[in-house]
Amino acid sequence: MPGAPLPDGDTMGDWIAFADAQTGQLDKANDRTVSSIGIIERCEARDRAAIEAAGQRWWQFWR
Amino acid sequence: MLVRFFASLAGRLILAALLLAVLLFGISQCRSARNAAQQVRVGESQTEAMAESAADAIGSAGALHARDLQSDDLTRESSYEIRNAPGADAPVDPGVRGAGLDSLCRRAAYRGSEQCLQRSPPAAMAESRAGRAAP
Repeated sequence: MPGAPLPDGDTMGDWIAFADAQTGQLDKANDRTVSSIGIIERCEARDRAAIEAAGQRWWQFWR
Repeated sequence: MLVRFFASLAGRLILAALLLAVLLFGISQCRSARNAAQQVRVGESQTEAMAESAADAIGSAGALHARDLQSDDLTRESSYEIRNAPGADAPVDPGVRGAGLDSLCRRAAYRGSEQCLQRSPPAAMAESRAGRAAP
């Protein structure tokens, strides 16, 4: 995730707007991390469930 | 002849061994067939899970993109409000401005940026010193 564009002016407004934009970029980066971890965790859970579901129970002798 | 042989003790033992061998062979065949069937079931189940995960990833990426756009909208709105707030036009001291830009240019995110590359170290230091000398 790239940083916010550096402030090119020299007013308080330029720098405070830069700080806010940088926080916005941080929010986006954090969101990506959470989303990526969520995708991987759900994928692993599905894989585990698939293996468990395909396994044979003791009473399912015909499978 | 054959009936008489199997009626003897040796014949019975051989018959029992043959039956045992046939039984074991049958069990092993049955077990390997069941293992193969189980592998097929696991494969099918995993393929289905993979398809669900792919759909999940696509959906998550779409939602992420939508939230990115919302965040960018919020940044634009906030920037407008900040720049139009009282005091927004107040100048930042060149010393602190230079030191701030120098700090940002030392970060990996900005190190190679055009603005940082244009800031030669002597010019940046002079700007910083001028700012510090000012009251």
